[in-house]
Amino acid sequence: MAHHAASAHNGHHAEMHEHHVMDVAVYWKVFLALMFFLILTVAAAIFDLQVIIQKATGLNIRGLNIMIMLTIAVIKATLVVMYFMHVKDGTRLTWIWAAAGFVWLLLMFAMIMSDYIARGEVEQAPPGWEQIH
Amino acid sequence: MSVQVKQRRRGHVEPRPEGAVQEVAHQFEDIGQQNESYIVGMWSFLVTEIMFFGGIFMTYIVYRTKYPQTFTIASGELDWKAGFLNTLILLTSSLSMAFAVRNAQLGKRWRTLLCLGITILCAFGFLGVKTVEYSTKWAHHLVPGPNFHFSRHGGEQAAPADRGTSFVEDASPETSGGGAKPEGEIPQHEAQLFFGLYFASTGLHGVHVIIGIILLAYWGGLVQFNARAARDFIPIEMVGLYWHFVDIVWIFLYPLLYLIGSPKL
Amino acid sequence: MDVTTTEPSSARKNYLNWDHSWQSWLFTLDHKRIGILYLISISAMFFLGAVAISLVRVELATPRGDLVESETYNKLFSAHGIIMVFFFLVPSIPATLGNFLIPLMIGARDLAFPRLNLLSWYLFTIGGGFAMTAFITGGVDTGWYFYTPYSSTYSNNQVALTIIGVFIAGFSSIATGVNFIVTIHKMRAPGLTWFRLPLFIWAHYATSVIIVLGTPVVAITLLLVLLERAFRIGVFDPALGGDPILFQHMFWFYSHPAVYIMILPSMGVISELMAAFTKKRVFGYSFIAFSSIAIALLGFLVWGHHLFTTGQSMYAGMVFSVLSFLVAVPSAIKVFNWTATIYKGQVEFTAPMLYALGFIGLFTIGGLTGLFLAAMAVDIHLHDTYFIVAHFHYIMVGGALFGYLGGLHYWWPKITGRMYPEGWAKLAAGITFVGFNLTFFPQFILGQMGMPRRYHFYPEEWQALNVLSSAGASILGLGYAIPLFYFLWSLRYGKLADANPWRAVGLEWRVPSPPPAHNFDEIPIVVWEAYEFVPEDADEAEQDREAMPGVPAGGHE
Ligand SMILES: [Cu+2]
Repeated sequence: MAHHAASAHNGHHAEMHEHHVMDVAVYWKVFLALMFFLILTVAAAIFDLQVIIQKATGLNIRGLNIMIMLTIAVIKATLVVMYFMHVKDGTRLTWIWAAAGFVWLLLMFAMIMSDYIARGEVEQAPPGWEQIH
Repeated sequence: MSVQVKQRRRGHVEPRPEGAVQEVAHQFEDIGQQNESYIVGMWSFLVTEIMFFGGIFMTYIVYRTKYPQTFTIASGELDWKAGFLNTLILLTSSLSMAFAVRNAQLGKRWRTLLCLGITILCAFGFLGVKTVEYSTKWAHHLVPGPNFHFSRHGGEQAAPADRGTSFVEDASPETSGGGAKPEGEIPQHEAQLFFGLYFASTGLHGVHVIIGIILLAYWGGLVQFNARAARDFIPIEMVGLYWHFVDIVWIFLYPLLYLIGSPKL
Repeated sequence: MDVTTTEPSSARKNYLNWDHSWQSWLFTLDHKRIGILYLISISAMFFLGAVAISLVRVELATPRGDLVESETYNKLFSAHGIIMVFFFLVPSIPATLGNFLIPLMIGARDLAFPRLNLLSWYLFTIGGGFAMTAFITGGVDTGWYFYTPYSSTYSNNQVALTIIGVFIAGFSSIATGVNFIVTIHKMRAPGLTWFRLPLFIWAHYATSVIIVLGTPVVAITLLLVLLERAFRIGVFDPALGGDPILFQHMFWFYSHPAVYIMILPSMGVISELMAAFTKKRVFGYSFIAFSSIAIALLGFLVWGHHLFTTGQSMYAGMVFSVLSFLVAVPSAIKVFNWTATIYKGQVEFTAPMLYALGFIGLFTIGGLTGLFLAAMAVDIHLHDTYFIVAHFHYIMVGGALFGYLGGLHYWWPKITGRMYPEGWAKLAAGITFVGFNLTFFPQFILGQMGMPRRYHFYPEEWQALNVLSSAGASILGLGYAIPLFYFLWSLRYGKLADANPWRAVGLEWRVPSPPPAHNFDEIPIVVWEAYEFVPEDADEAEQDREAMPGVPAGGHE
């Protein structure tokens, strides 16, 4: 019925009649990458890099393992969001809303933790914040 | 990178003309508007889910930084191999879910059903492993409440003194000398906090898995028995978004709960 | 689309009269009918909350505790707070006026997800049912913010029921928020760009963003309180290694922004009223629009001002204090722009406009006293006194509720097709204004003298001010009761309203009153700016109007 002015519907016309169907191979590759990272996570937990590095160099990087594991988790989550959840081919609006939750959550973490750190409740510096020796 | 792009191009199979088969609800003007509304709607709902689980992660962060030793030791009581198996199962279910969506997009009804079936199977497998884990924890008095008593049962007993608690080593003088604290020194309520958070987060996640199973079964049934519903892939896509989100939560829960206790092979 | 609207207006089918069966109401997917369902539910909630606080005010008329015991008193103010915050103010404008008007204002046939919309009303009702059960079976005495460890360890089990009720109502709120976000993004009529939207829509968009980002956090927090009650996991119990301040952090992460969930829609209403009754474009349109978004985002960064007297670190307190001052800026921008809109406008002092003018004055007082409280040192003195009570009632009642009442009057002809009696409405607006100030202004003085909130007895020397406050409350009650009667009266005896009784602009005034079930016979194409009262466009606008079937022409000034 009525014609939609392009200005009102930010570009949904562009997407209207095409739909991104991803290649099967893409899904398999993502899956294999997720498997690889899963094994890497466990390996990082089992072979304590922090101890290994400390023994080799005397450098004690606190919370190195958890940092590695969380970095991997972020990579895994990004893969799932981008490919399995199709945000990669999504509209700008989808991108904004897909990012909003994660960004706001980090904000909450930062604001609340800053109180705990300032209170000195944190028994030691948060993992990875300082290097000793 | 350019290879990637090429593949994506090749992957752009034009599905059947959508406007002809997907039905447009009365409040929408065209199918493009309807489809994107559902996707954006689902994502803004997932934002609430992120913040919801985020609250649990917030409490986790606070208490883990407050009681790092206890959390490290208590985490050793969790069976990381069971968690590994469950991660494997969930990632597999995510793959089959992704394929279910793809087949729905292409209008391949039977393949969609097959993939949904595999996803549901994986979900049940996940819950099965979880049940075994929970009952072990119950038997070991690790469920918070009047019966709670933290003592060691898992593989941690064999822990060599120089490993596994390296996190703890230089944290405070009384634990120096390496190795885990003897169990008597671990404040019971701190350990209870860890298990409280463990049950709260995995329980909440489990509830989401159960809801996921119901959604998957419902839409699977519709695809099976209702030709009209089978033509619209958007509901499957939305269930997929939900399912992948549940997967993402687990991706973070697994290392934070199971792997901080320096597991042994 | 196939419905013709050429019959005479009395016989015309509209969303109210096309079907009278109860099923057509309880299973309706029409956003307008769902708005009405919400209107009925929240009005009931409002009067229940009012009854609870009436008893409190009666008790406080004397310095002794003679009417009720301490425990009953605690339950009364808790019931008042819980009902008014979670079951009245949060859904008040969005779920009624927002639900009804957003599709009409943006030229859509419905919200994006009509079934989700109906679900949200059912969730609201179920949640309300849980809370009511808790109040009837024993009552809750924790106050509306359920502070731990009292709520999680010591208080009675009705707390659990109430929390479940609030939790479910939270999902209803989320459903509304998601629906509004998608609708505003995707359902705007052709040509209706973001900067042609009514400011009411901007306000509701900002509100929905807060709902979506904040509500789940309070949901999980309250769920943890439940788990703590059930399993003693200790997250918020210091005796078990938990931290009650963490509860306060997470609770206020939602509950401070929740203040903006309540006030932003009201600000949206005020913008509409300012334009309609000065016949001018709102001054500083884009400033008001962006200030809504700024409030939504900045509002999330200030919750720590509720924790100044707890063990929150001084540094966090300083940051929260500064940010709390900052958040006053976008609110002030709005007030200045509204004032500038009135300047040299032909102000029509109708009842809705009286409420709107009341809003500006009272909200300003509420906002400025908020700055006192944002200053950490002053807050130490005023914390948990009647100064706080007065401050947030100036925002919640003088702001949110006045906006709600103003909006209800303004759109009443659109919703029901009948005019309310203007004389009575002006009287009620006046009574409400006087009653409100008499109730709450003395509380500023009491609080400043150090009278703590939540006690049912007090030293003799504060009696005069308390009696004033209680007297004001009775006048305020009268001010609320009068509209209830004349609104109901007008449903049957009110003058029939034409499509645009206020000669306002906006798409909702271009459809008949009450609107047809499908809103628009043809989706309009918007080629004009928001609040375009410019005379030289009159002819063109006239033609647009005539092109719309079923709309009486010649309404434009
Ligand atoms: Cu606040």
